[in-house]
Amino acid sequence: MTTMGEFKKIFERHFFSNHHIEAKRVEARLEQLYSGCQCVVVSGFAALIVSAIDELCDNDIIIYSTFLNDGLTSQISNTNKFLHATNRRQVIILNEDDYSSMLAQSRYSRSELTCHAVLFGKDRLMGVFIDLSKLHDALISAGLFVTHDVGMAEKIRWARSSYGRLGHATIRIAANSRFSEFQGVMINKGLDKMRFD
Amino acid sequence: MTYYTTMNLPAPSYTDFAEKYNQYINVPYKAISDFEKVLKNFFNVEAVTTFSNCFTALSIALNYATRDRPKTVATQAMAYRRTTDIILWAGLKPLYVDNSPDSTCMSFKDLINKLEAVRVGCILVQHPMVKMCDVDRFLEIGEAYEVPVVFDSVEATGASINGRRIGGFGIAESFSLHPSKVVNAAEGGVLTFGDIDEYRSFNRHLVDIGVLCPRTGRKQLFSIEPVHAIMGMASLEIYDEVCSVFKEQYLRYLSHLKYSKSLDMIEYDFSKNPNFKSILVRLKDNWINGRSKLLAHLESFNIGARAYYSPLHQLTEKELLPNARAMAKRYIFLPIGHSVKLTDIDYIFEIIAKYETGAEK
Repeated sequence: MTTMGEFKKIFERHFFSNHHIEAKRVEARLEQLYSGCQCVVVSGFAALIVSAIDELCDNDIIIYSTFLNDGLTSQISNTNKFLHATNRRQVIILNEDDYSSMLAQSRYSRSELTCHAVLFGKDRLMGVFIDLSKLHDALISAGLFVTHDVGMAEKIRWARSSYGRLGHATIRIAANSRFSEFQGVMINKGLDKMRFD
Repeated sequence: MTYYTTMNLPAPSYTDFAEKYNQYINVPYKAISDFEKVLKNFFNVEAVTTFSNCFTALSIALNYATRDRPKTVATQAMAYRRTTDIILWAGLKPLYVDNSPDSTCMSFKDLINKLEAVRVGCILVQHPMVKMCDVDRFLEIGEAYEVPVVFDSVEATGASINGRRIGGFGIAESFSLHPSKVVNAAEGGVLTFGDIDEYRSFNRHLVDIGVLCPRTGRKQLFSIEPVHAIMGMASLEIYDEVCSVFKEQYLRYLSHLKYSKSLDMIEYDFSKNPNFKSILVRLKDNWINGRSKLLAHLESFNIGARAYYSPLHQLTEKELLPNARAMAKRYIFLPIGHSVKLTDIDYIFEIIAKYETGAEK
C-alpha cells in the first residue's frame, strides 16, 4: 500500500498518536531485525539522548559517539550544547577507530542502520542509539534505542510517554517524545525499502 | 462498544490533509514555515515558533526565561501532571505555589508571599481547564517583583481576554497540537510571542543551546515534523467548526448537570470566546469523598471520566499547599469530542444519576 493509503487508514481509525498500530508495527519489525533485543522508538534522536542521559547514565554508564560522515554528526554536537545548557552529562566523543572497536564488541551493529551513539558501562556495550531520519525524505528526526536490557528499555518507554509502556519502571523525568502514527507510517515505509540480511 | 473518552480528537478530512500533503511533500520545510505564518495570523501575535511537542516548547521557554536568573520556576501545585517534569527537563527546579479555590489558578496571595521570601527565576502561569487566569494581575505581579512570566495556555487555545486573543502575553505562551487538544497536528508544540525583540532574543538563545541553526534558521533539534505542520494547517481551517461542536456538547452537559446531586459544572465565560474543549465538574461538599467510586462506576459503563490534575506531584509532598490538596480531590473532567454524540451525553448523565441514587441509598 502507498504512503497515502496508509495515511488514509490513520484517518479511518481516527487515532493519530499515543502509540497505536503503526507505532507498534515499527517496533515489532525492528525487533525482528535486531532479534532478541528490545527496540524503543521516540520522536527525535536528541530527545532520545536526553532521556537516556536522564534515566540510564551515571558515573559508570556513559554515552559515546564519534563524528561520522553521514550528515548527522552535527546532531551530537548540538545535542551536547543542549545537554550543557540544561546541566546534564554530555555525550563523550571518541575518535572513529575507538568508537568502531567499541561497537564491534556487540551484536547491535547492522549494515542497514548506522549506530550514531552507544551506551557503554560495566565493561560492556549496553545499547545503541540510531537516528532513523534517513528512512524517509520528509522525516526530520526519529530515534531508536536498541538494547538487550529489558529494564533500560522500559525506562526509555516510560520517559517517552504514558503510552506504549510494557511493564514497570521508576524514572526521574516523565518527558514527552511520542512519535505519531504519521511518523510510524514513514518509518515503516523506510523499513520496507531496506533489505534485511 | 463505544468508549467515551476525554480526548477531543478533532480532525480535518483525509481529503483536505492529502491535498496539503501533496502540495508540500517536495518542500517539507516550507510546510513548517507556512504553518508558522498561519499560526501567527490565528493568534494575532508578532511571532510564532513550533517544536516537536508542547512539553519541549514550554521547557525551552522556561530555560530561556531563567537564563541569567535563579534556576527556579514558581508554578501552581495543582496543574497539568507533566508540569513538574517540564520544569525539571529544562534543568530547573519547581517552587510550588498554592492554588486559589475560586479561580483554580495560582493563588496571588501565595505567589506574592513566595516572591517576598525568595528570588525566583520565572513565574509559570497555567490557564486551567475552562476558567482562565487573570493575566493582567499576574503580569503586574511579575513586573512589581521583576520576574518574567511565561504562560502555559494549552487549555485556553483560541480564547480572548478583553477582546484580544491570547498568545501575546508575558515572555511567551505555549500551546499544544496533540490530538487531545483543540488543534490537532498529531504531535507538535507552539510558542507565541507578543514582542518581536523577545522572539529574536529567544532565537539567539536557541542558537546558543544548539537548537537553532544560525545559517538556515531551522531547528536542528526538537523540530516539528513537516507532516505534523501539514496536519496542523488542515486542522486550523476547521477550528471554528470544531469549537461549535464542542459548544453544543458543553451546553447539553450544562442542561443536565444543573440537576445533578453530586456535581457542580464549572462554567465557561462566553465573553472570553472559549474553545469549549473541556467538561470540568466539581464534587459538591457532601460528595467529596466519593470521586474514586464515581470514576469506577463510570468506567464500568465505558465512560472514561478522569480525575482532574490529580494526584499532585510527589515533589509537593512536604510543601504547605492546603488549597491544592483539597482541590485535587474534587474535580473530574468528563468525555467530550469525537467519541461523544449529544445522545451519549444524555446517557452519561443517566449513569451519573443512577450512581447518585445508589449512593444515597
